[in-house]
Amino acid sequence: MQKEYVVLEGKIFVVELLSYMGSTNYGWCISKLPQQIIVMATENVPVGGKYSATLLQRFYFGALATEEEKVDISFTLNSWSDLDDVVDNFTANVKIIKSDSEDFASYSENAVKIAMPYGFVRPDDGTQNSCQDYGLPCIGHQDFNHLIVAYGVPLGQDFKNLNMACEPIYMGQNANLKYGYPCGVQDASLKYGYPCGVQDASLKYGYPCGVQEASLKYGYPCGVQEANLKYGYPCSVQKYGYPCGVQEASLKYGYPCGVQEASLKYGYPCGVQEASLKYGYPCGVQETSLTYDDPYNVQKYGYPCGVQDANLKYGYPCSVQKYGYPCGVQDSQEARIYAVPF
Amino acid sequence: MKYQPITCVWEVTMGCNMRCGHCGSSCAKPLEGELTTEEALALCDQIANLGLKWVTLSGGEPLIRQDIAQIVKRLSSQGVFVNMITNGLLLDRAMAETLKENGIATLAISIDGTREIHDEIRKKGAFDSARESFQYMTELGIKSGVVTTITNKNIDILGELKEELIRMGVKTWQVQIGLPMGNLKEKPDWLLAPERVTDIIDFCYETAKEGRIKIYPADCIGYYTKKELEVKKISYETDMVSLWDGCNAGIRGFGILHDGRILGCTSIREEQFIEKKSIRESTLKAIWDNEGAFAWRRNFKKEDLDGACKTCVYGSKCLGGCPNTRLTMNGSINSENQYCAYNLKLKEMQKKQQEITDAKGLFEQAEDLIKLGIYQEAAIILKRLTELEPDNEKALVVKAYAEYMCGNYEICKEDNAKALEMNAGNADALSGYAIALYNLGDKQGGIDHMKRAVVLSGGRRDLQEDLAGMMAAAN
Repeated sequence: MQKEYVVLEGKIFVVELLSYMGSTNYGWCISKLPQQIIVMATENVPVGGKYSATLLQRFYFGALATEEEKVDISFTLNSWSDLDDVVDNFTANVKIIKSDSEDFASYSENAVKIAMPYGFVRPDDGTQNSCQDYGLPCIGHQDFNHLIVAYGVPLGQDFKNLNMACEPIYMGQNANLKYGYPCGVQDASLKYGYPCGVQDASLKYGYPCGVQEASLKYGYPCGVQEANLKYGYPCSVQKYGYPCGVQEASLKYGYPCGVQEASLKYGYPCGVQEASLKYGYPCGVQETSLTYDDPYNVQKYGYPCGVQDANLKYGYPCSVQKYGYPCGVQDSQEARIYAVPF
Repeated sequence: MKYQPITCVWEVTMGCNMRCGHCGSSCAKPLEGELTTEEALALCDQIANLGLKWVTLSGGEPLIRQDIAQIVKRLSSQGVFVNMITNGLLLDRAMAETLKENGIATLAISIDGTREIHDEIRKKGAFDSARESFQYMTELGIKSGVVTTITNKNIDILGELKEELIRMGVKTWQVQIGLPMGNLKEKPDWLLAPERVTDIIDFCYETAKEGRIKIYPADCIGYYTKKELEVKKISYETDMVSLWDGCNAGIRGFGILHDGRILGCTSIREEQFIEKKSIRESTLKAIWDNEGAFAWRRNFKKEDLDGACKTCVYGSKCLGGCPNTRLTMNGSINSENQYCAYNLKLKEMQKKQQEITDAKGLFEQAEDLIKLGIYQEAAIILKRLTELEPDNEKALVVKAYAEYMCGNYEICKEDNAKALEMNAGNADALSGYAIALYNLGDKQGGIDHMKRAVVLSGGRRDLQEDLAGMMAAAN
């Protein structure tokens, strides 16, 4: 027996086979699995009613990226107490539809005049969740105690409540904090992406408008960004911080792909970077208790805690410049909003 | 809109000492009406005054003009960089020295294959002549490169040619596709199948990565492949490469024919594309600044395109790639570009999609693509999905969104209209319909529908913002 399956690269597909394993001990086994296919799960579902031993064996597979378009998965129906006792065979002829979109630069003439505000998405249920900042859902998707972890927004005691627009209100701080900048203070020429208060759709994350190519995104498709996108890319698909259309696949934000050794951190060769450079944190402050955007204290702004070398930070001399803040402004403890301990 | 030209290609003569099998202009003997030396020199002054940064002298074979050195000098002495494309047959050491003395900036020699193939395409002895010319230029320190026209005659030996050029010391190499015009129109077996363009891009990419010779795919090769962008980054030695932004004809450059007629591109030389007045009847500046000048290009919009280009996400930026490709392949600059790598990819993808019947998987894939900003492919997948499930309201609305992001407002409107027929209370469909109307020019209609969408949605904030944006823009 054989059957053809047309599956999408990166997606799960299911092969279902009937057996009487419960009564006869004969069941389907995978006897040949090509490299391009992985087994995600198996499941046995009784289908024959109360008095029947008919069993539906479900095999969940994932199709990996591959150059080969067609592969075969072989199954045998054999006794599970005597594997040589094969009574039937089945071959799944799998045709993998390659996902090749990455070959082209992303572009849309409407990416710069998108109808939806940057960072907001329309949930499936049609209701607008306006409390979604830069990819972090505030309400409905997170435990309230851990929410409002918007970029540039302090955690913990400074948090008080949300206003009607679901914007966080803070005690003892300027409520007009945008992505790390106090609004009134920020120099218009300083853009970690957005000019204060303006933040329109024509601005891409991290690029001054006039400079950035339309095809370059620091991650986010405007307006489409979702919580499950990390800096714009689904983790498993793409990596952090690539210009979409330009970057060679083998190059990662400063790292050779897949190589990323201890000596290479976020684009800085270890030996070159000064010890006083931190990833946006004042040197003396950053500790394991600091999180940037992850309420569970698992990650720091792109670094898995256990991996990040404490000496290597995002590239600011700590006494000189803070992550996105004009130096002279964000110095005092109470004004520090970016790396506040819980 | 004011346009500022920065470059032009000047066919100083149509006369040529070769009879190349692929010559797009079928050059032979000089044609009547060539500009006199006085006229040519006066044109040089006009070129400089118009602010052009560089000029490419071509033909025919530019070196058969006796006054070519004077032309070079007149331009270079006024700060214009002069480039010349030559077959090299007349470029002996003395000529090379003359050109250098008169200020030639760069020189490109046409080499279309290894010795045997080049000589077959052009003329016996042409390869050795071109190689010697290159040596002279190199010895004199004149920046020189090679231009290769790719046809079926040479596409399979590009690797060998590359090695030959590297051995010759060539540093820069431009490759272009031979299009069915002039002599090549009579040799259909030489014409590349459109699918081969991806082979060319792959070859350019591999060559660029090697770093042994800088390779420059011409404007007829593309579009929007990451590989092509990577090649440009490497060859131009900058990360600031831009996406293809439409043909330069009449925008940043123009062409001059041997008799002083002006046109957007010397390859697009049918009468309708030539400006009414030549420099014998007007000035270069007046021709360039004329309100209706180069209208075929300056007024060209995505809506003017046909076929796949008409609904392409890049359409408004790309405008169909090289118009000469479309003209020579299909007889119309409005037609789709068969040599476009993206077009080829989409056609392949559409074919694949027809095999898929997993509606859920299609929807998930489309959603993933939308999140990544890959709207065109999402639209294609959703098109397949709506073929499978014509009554899938959600798929229609998401498809409409993808089409909107592709700039396909008419399709966006139709898809949303279908969704509204199924469910008049779908605020997303109504807002999408409103935005489509607005972008199609019915601004008041768009605003009115968006107001209804806001009410229908119970005052959703995003729709309110859309409405505010539309009203602000309309005013």
